[in-house]
Amino acid sequence: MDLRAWLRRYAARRPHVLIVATRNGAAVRLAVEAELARRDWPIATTPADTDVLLVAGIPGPELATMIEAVWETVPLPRAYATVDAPDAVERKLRRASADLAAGRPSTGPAPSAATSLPEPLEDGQGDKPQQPDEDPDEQHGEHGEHDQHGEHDQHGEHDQHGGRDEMEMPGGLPMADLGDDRDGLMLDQLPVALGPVLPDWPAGLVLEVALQGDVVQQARARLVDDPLGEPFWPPGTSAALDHGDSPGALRRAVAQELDAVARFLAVAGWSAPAARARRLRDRQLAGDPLEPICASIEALVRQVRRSRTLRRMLRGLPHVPVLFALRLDALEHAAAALHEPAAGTVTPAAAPSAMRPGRSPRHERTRVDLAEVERMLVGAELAAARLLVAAADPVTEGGIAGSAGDAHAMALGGNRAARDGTSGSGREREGGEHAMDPGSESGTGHGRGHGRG
Amino acid sequence: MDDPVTVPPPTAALAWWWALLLPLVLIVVAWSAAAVDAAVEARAAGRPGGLTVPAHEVTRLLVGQRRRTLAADPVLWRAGAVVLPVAAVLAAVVIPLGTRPVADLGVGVVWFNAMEVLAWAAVWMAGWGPNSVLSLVGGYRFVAQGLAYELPHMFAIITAALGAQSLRVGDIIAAQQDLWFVVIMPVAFVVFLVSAAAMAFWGPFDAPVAGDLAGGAASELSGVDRLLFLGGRWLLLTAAAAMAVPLFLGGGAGPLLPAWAWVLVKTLLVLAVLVWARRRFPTIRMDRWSEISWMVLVPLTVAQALVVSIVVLAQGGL
Repeated sequence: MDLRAWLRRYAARRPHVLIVATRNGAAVRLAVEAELARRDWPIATTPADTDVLLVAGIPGPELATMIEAVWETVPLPRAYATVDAPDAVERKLRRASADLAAGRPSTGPAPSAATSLPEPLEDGQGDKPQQPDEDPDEQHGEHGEHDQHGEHDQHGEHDQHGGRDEMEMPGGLPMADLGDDRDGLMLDQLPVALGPVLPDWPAGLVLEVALQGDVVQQARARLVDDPLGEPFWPPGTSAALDHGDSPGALRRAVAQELDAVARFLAVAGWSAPAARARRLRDRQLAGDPLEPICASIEALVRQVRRSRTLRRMLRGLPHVPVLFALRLDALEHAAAALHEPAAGTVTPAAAPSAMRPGRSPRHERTRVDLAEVERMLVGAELAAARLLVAAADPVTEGGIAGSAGDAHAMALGGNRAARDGTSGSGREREGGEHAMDPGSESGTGHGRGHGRG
Repeated sequence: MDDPVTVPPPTAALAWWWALLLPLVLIVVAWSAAAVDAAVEARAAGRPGGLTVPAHEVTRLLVGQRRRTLAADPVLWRAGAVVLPVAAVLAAVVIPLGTRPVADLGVGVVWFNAMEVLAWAAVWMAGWGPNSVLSLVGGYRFVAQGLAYELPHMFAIITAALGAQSLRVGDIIAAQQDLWFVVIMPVAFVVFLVSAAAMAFWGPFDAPVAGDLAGGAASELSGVDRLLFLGGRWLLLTAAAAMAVPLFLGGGAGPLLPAWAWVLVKTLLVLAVLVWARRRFPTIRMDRWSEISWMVLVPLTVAQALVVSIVVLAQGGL
């Protein structure tokens, strides 16, 4: 019997799955994560460690292009799956595993119009190195790739700020730019796009940053594509709590906070409580009895708050401790509101925020807006930047109008306006955010973020 | 302690073919530790099993394709992955598997330290090679980590050598016949454990390969390269844990069981502590740890070495 086939079948019993979540794809992502946890299949953190590339939700044209680029970098044997509804998860995963076991070559994502360049064909030989960096979309492929196609591999994302004169280097890579650093030195400046395919990262978020060393000098956030379908999370945590009419919405609010806390803990490198938070989230959404879940949430929050190591790691980082404290508070309060429904449901009409005066204003500002994130990121190191994004947990879902083509032009102001249009509490939320860090000079970071190119 | 220099027996090293068995021994120990680790994780998640996880992982990496990236430095990159397991095995040659090591070097402690420092080069090369940002940042994180952990680590090792007045690992074991060094020099022991984890970029010191960098130095490795790199990390951790046994835990000394069994039991216990610590603490970043390491651990280990040397002098050792 063919040893190779046998090994392949054995390996296919526990493949690593890379989840690419689309905006508004949270429902599918959560279903996938729950199913993976049940099967004990690990979530891949990088395309290099991926067996199954799974797209949760329906990707728009831009994300589809990125997914193709990521797919090119996934080593064989590999399988590709798109899941657009939570109930299809189990079937698709089973099929992906079967495909891997049988060694069936996977077709991968259907090529989109933007990627018409010929790709090197894979011949199914596991030992033949592929060329992950064959650039599927060349018109801006030559920008900002020096030292960076890891990024490029992982996210399939290019820096699109055209218009710079760049010296062509062997391999089509440009030199890094020079730029002033925070200490007044001229240092190499490297444009890098973080996201949207990055572990524990908000769905559909792309952060275009200029790095000097691992310090973020400029940051520009944008969202890929228009979201398709309905948002999964309640529009604002406070809204769900205050109009606490449906226990389903309350449960979702708690699950959302658990999801955010789990992500933060995972980014902070504390996998055990992160996994615990995810399990609680899944149980919460599955509708398990409340009593034990709420007790576990309390225990989790207590454990995380008590950790001196975590405190020491976060202390002094820009904005992160405040934001994470808010995140834990929000989780605690959401759980409390769910646990003691009397507070929310007895008089749903009577000015709910007055009922819990200490609570609601805090909730108003737990989710930070992308423009704020952008501004906070300047000057942070990569590790701090990741923590910051995770703690801010910006909302990337929603129904935003506008064509996908001008995702660029539709800068953050546009997103904000659109979100205000869709969710009633957007305006107040922003007010809260600005009040949150009075020390930071708003506007300068933002201006610098757009000032390159 | 009348005769400070224990005369080693004429054949202090194991037979030559043990050099071929040594990698297997290390792999078996590391494999069982990985299996138990996975089983503990599965239990925490309320799932059965987990013991077969290493087998699945190794298999999928064996059949996986190797990758190439644009404008990579393939020599450094592949070498980085290979150096890690090789360094672990070479470091382990001076560890007595029972009463005798594979190679009984007069400068065994220095040899061990020199081999484990190869990990610096290995991780940095693996991070540099693929020409990718996250990978490169991971590689440099490990260089910074090395700067932080290596000094206290060396002081901890040297303290054990000081206590025995010999760099030969066999002599260090012989010097613990009355009292294990963990009792005389607890600070050095704890620092050794901490820096062993840091050296194997393990558990709270895993920033070089952390998830926030999508795997950092390992983020571009696939297939057999990844297997060598991540497997090498396990081997390095195992070798470091095994080295704690002759340095601080009396080597193969113990009642009833033969010496090799005691070495195994103690090694597994130290490994269990290291594996537990990974679950217990969030990732410790070097921008924070360096301060603790240099301001607290270095003075502590120096003070520990001073105390030990005074004790040695008082006993008329020199």
